Amino acid sequence: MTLRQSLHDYLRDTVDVSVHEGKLPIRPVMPALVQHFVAASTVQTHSNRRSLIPRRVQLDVYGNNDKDVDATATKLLLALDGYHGPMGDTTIGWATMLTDMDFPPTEIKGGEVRFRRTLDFEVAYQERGKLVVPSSSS
Amino acid sequence: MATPPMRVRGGPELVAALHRVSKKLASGPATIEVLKAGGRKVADEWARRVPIGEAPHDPHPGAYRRAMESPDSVYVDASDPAGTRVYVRPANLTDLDIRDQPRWYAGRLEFGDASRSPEPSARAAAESSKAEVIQIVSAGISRVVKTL
Repeated sequence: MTLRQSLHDYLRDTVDVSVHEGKLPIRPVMPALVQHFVAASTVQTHSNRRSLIPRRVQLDVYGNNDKDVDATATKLLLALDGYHGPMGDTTIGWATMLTDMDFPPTEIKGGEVRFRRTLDFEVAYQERGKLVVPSSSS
Repeated sequence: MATPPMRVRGGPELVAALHRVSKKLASGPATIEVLKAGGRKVADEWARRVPIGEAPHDPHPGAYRRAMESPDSVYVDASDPAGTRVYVRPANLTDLDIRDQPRWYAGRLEFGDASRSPEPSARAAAESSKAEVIQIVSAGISRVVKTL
């Protein structure tokens, strides 16, 4: 299981909202979360032993009003900021909020208005079975 | 046995001299060049990663990349007494109307919206060039300090 899947399942169960990849579906159930993986820092070591990989993850909180969005963003923060330990098949070294941005409400087709907050996290992780440990003979 | 009294002289002169060095280091032309070199690294990486649209959907394909490749995409502000800052952002392109400047749509591409997935280039560039920028700036500042 990848970090993507582990994070998706964890957020769905703890924040208790629908979680989508990349963008919202056409008729989403609100409030909703959209996760997007931005970039991973390069990790290089002399022994070729890969430990935790820090990755920047963008999490968009969407809702039909600002109250729902703020309440969901707070639940997201409580669930993820400061998290460490196992998450599904992934081990999380740390998860820290980096930025929190408010976007102006946007009107979509049909006059519906969407509210949004975007939170960026750094998630340092290790997928099980991916750790390369040099053998004792090398 | 009582400790003999000690007089330290030249304290105010030392503080004034350190202030002069600090000021020269913080906003001197050599430091600004070092900071620009660090900013240039981020701008080049950003330019490499920007999404390129296609006509007719994008009326000016490649404009965003040109805006990042421009020397004006790295801007140094030495006016703040708190410290000299370097900014990296899409530069204005003289051949484009003000409404078509990439800085207007760069944010939408970076963070996406309800109907469009983000296509991050700025944050990815900052993350991937961070180590090299620190190396460029620290080596450059070391060189500047030796000339003071």
